[in-house]
Parts: sequence; C-alpha cells; structure tokens
Amino acid sequence: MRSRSWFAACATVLAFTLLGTVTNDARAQRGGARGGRPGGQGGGFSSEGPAASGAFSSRSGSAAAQGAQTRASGGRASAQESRASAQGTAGQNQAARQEARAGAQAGRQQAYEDEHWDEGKGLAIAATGAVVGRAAGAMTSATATSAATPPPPPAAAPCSNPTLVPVGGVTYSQCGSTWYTQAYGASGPVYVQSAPPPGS
Amino acid sequence: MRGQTKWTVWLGAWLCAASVLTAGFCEAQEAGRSPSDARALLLGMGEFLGKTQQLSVTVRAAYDTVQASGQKVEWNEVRTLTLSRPDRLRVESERSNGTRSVVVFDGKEISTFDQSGRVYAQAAQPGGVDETLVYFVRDLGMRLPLAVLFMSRAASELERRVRAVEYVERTGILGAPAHHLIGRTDTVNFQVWISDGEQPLPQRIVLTYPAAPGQPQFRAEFSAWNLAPQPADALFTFTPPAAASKIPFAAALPQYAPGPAGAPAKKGATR
Repeated sequence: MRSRSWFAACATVLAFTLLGTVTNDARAQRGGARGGRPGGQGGGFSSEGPAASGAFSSRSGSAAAQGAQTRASGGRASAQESRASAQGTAGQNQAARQEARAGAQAGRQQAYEDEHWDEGKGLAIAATGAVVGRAAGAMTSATATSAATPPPPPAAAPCSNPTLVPVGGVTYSQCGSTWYTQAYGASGPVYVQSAPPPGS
Repeated sequence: MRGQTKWTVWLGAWLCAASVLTAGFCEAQEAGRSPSDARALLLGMGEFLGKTQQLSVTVRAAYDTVQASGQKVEWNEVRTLTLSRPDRLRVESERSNGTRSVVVFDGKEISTFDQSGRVYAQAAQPGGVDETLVYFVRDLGMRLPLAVLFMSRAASELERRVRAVEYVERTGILGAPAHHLIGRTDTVNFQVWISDGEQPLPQRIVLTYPAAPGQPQFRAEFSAWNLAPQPADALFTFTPPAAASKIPFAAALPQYAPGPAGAPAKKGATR
C-alpha cells in the first residue's frame, strides 16, 4: 500500500516534469520562430536607429519633436486659415497672419535641417512602412568583420514570385495588387512600395 | 635665540603651504584643464582635419539598435575613407554581415555601389566635398557616419553644434598619448580622444543619443591615418561593373502613400 503511494507520487512528479519540459520547448520554439522571422529588417533584428547615423545631431531629440510640432502647427494654421477665410474680410487679415506665422515656422524648420544636416533623415525614410525588403539580407550581430565572412544574399524580393515589369529603365515588381521598386536606401538597396508603372 | 626659533617656524610653515599649493596646482594641471582648453582642443582637431588636403583613414565602428524587446544589438562595420580636397572622395565599407559597398565622388557625380546586390545609384553633384557630404546625407538620405569631421569647415560645424566640452584626462591607453574630452550638442553626448602632438587627430569617438529609447551609442576607432596618401585618379572614378543594374536613390523616389485596402495612391505625388 505504502509502495503504491510512493509510486503514484513519483509518477505524478514525473508527469509534471515532462509536461514542463514540453511547455518550455514549445515556448523556446515560438521564441526561436520570432527571432528568426524576417521582420522587414535583416535576420529579424532591426539595424536602423538613431545611433546608426553616427551624427552629432539626432532626430530623436528636439529635432523630431520640433519637426512634428512644426507640422502640427502648420496643420492648425491651415485649419484656422480655412475658418478665417469663411468669416470675411476681417478673417482674411487673420488668415494672412496665420499664413505668415506658418511660413516662418516652416522657414525655421528648414534652417534647423540645414544646420543639422547629418542627423539621419534617410534613416527616417527607411523606417517608413513603405520599405519592405532589406537588401542586406540576414544581418547578424557579429562582433567583428572578417575576410572569411561570406557575402550575404542579394536583395530579398518583396514576395516569393513577383512579376517583373521593366519600364523606362526601372524594374517594377508586382506582388498581387501591390507594386514595388528597388531603390538605394540609407544603408543599401531596399524595395520600396511604389505607384504602378506608367501605362499599367 | 627665541627670535631665531620663531623665524624658523614661520619659514617652515610657509614652505609647507607653498609645497601644498604647488602640488595642488600641478595636480589640477594634470587632471583637469579649463573648459576653454577642452573646447580649443576639440576645435583644433576640427581645424587640423579641415585644413588637411589629402588623407586616408580606416574607421572601425559599431552602433547599437534597440529592438522591440528592449534588447540592444551591436552592429559593426569597417570603412576606409580616402579624401582629396577639394572634390574627390572614396569610402569603402564592409558591414558585419559581409556586405561590401563603395561610395565615389569625382567632382561631378556621386555614385554608390552595393557589391552583393550588384546594384548602384548615381546622382549628378557638381561641387566640392563639403557640398557633396551635405547632399549625400541630408538630401539623398544616405548613411555616412561622422561626415562632419571630413568637411573643410569641420571646426565651424563642431563649434556651432557643441554646447559644452570638458577635459577628462590625458591618457595613453589607446596606444598613443591622447586628450580625452567629453561634450554635448543639443541632442548628442559625445566623448573623443584626440592625439596629443603636432597632429591632433581623433583616435576614438563615442556618441550617445540620450533622448532615444535605450540611449544607443555609436562608437568609432580610427587607425592607419595617412595625411599624404597621394591617391591615383582612378581611385575616384566609378565604372559600373558589367552586370550591375542602376537603381534610383530611395529619397529621390516620389512619395507613395497607399490608399485603403492597398488601393494605389494618385500618380505623380511628390514629396
């Protein structure tokens, strides 16, 4: 009787242990799949960010905020301008003032970008959803370059079997109803979602 | 006798005080210079680089990217830059995944070629290296880390951006005597190690982006400085390989905003 109880206890512990192992394996596999799935950047890991620019200015700081603020202010100015024009002559003066203010803000933004030209505008372009394929392929986080490092595969196509349509020296790739064009991005060739080729 | 003793005590006290003050002054000279010295060292580096007509250097760089998980990944690259003012530039790069690329400016056009994809992009760019660096980074949206340092007006570019500089120490830990400075711009904190000597060249730079999530860094170590490389003209000539395809710069493409459910946006939309 006593040995049966021991046997039951041992069997229960063993069952829980096996169940735990299977669960951990499943978690690990899911984690591995996440890590290995391309996420629009090489190898599933993003290689874009403020530090990639190696610049003495950064859009992550005040610049981006200022840009967004300026754009927002521009939008507010436009809305106010629309309301003002509907209110007649008095409103027209106000609209002119708003327009001048928006123009001045845009000018300041332009001046800021001229002064902080190295802050990585291109990386912001690369970060848009329009860029789908990183030509660099699966980028690894190796700690040093080596002459023995094999070159990565060429630019990954935006889909498995795109229809290629060359028009005017540009090759368009069609995936379903979506069109892409290969272009040189901040860190290398990428596929950028584009308008359909002319005449299509 | 009593007067002589008093005089001796006073002399001893003065000697002690003088030695303490002298030691303190020397230590201050060694450990921390005045802020004006630190700024002068930084701008001196910029002036020296800007006035150098020809140079080549190898830059071994690494930068962090913060992933969605919050974890940082370090990416590495090696660049060899050859510069011949006023209008010649070549930058060869190798990234940690083996990707190799080259950027060539010949005074008329700027070209960039990706060896693994065998594609290149090219844009007309008459002018000097300064204008070309700005055009390449700001207008074409391309990466060229530390581009500011290779302009002829590097000193004024640094002076305009840098809000504070401090002297940390004099060190030889990188292999040659260097001044270690820290500083900040409006958005970037930086450290730089500048060679102590006739040629105030940067040995190492660390840039930190404090406003970005995870405060990522860009780190670069400079080696193989050559201030008289005498490069051949062919080095600054880009001839596309036979099998290479020309593609546009992404920044030069018309901005495309897909409509709802993947409907194409109006044609001819420009940024």
